[in-house]
Amino acid sequence: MRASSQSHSPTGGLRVFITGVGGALGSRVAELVESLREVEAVGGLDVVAPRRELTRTEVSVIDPRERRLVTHAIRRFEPTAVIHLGIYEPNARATPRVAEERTASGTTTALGAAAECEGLDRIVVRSGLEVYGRRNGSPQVPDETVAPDPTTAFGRSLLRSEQVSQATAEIVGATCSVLRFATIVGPDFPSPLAKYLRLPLVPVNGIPDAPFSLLHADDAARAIVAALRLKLDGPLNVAGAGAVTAFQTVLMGKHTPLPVVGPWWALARAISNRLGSPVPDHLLELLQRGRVADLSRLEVMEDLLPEHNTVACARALHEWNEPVTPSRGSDERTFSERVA
Amino acid sequence: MNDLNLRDLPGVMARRRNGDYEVDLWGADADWVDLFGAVSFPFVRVRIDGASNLPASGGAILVANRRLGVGEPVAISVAVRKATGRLIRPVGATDLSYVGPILRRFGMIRSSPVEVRSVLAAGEMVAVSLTSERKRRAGTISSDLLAPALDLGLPVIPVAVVGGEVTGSWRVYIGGPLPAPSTVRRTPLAAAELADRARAGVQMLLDDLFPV
Repeated sequence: MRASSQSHSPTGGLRVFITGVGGALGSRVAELVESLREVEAVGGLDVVAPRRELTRTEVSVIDPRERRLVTHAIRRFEPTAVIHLGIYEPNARATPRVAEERTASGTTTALGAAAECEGLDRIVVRSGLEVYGRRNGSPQVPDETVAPDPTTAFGRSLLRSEQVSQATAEIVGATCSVLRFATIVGPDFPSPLAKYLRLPLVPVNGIPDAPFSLLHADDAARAIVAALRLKLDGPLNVAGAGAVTAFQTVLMGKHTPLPVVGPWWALARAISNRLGSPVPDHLLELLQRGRVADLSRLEVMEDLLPEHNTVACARALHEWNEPVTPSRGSDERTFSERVA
Repeated sequence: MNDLNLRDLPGVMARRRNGDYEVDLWGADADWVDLFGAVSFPFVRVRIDGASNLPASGGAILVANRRLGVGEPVAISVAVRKATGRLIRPVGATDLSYVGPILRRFGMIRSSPVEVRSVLAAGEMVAVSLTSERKRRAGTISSDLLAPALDLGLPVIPVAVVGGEVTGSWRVYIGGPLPAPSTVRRTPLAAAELADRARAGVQMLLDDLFPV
């Protein structure tokens, strides 16, 4: 990970385009980007309108699978910087199938269209620690030099976004910051993990369960904006300091942990799903095998250091309101599908 | 981490019921380690020599002889904790379900250069073993496990452990840190040379303790 010298569009300022601008993270990032003096214009797209009031951001409400509309919106904006947050976590804002489709299609289209614009000189992509996978024998605390080897659908989806972003950056000669976030939680951040840990009776891995790290949504947003400003290049693990276990987090909220082993997880998943808290495979992996990362590189980057540690995030989980979740049964077809 | 007195156990349990405890990135639980120490200290009698060679802070790799069993790593853990109050991370946890996470709770880590490096970078001490089937002989070690110390410029300290599980009486002899390799380049050869020196250093300590 290295920081490059600043470079702006021919007109002087940065033209920042944010994919996934409608989500809790995207709208917070847009708000912070709007406040930067070096930014000339802010644009963005998402399947939903932003959750915050944005004053300078031109938002296009488009399903990322609508290739023609996405391409048009980006070409018209002519970005010099792209913040790619259009990564959809399964069971957060969409079903696993739709999330994967939106991520794959949105990544290819958005970055492909941005690459055609003159002056694109930096890309910041939101990724996750899921890319390292938790295969037997894989490092417990991977650093950025460890080759990604995802073992879940979400991990593979993230890795593909990283690869497309890096390939695009290489073609146009731009820098590409790949921010590998721990599981993001926040007061209005839709997270399957947060929802799961707030069940009254929470199945956790049998004795003992594995540690994982968390990242506050505000810290994630600040890290994205800092990476944009510093024009960082390469992957960087970002997580709140320290770790917690699911058992510990459940106790913090005065809820009841239910140790589960082996095949009983299938039943626990089914019951949790019925209670409205689905357990996608990357969440199950986190509960069974943990997910932490080496933060040595992050620790020397003052602008990106999270303010909230993992324990503080875990405690706060139980004080926040239930996150806004997509309405179940909503029409998730694309415009083309609906017309057809 | 603090020494745990078994009389404190009710207070610890009350604290844990509220989730008020610490598990680190590698899965070590301070309370489990302290409980293990409180239970094992009366049964594991350890005499330590050369404790001044242990760093008071920062990372280091301790390379020790070992035969089959867990006696030597436990003896080193108890000795280091007695001498410095620090927790040491023995290498040797497996990835097996249930077994691996339990070993990690007591501070063990897996035999992986990436994992050793991350622990050292966090300022912790790591204990690696030269496993041998012969008594009082230093076995072999993978140079990959010592390479992180070379990369981070941390000391490698030879340790000789003698005694037996049957008697519960151990003698831990801690040698001086090995001199830095002649080459400044952190090549695989430099790591291999360091591994050879570590092995020779441990054997020298054993020979000093038990002259032929």
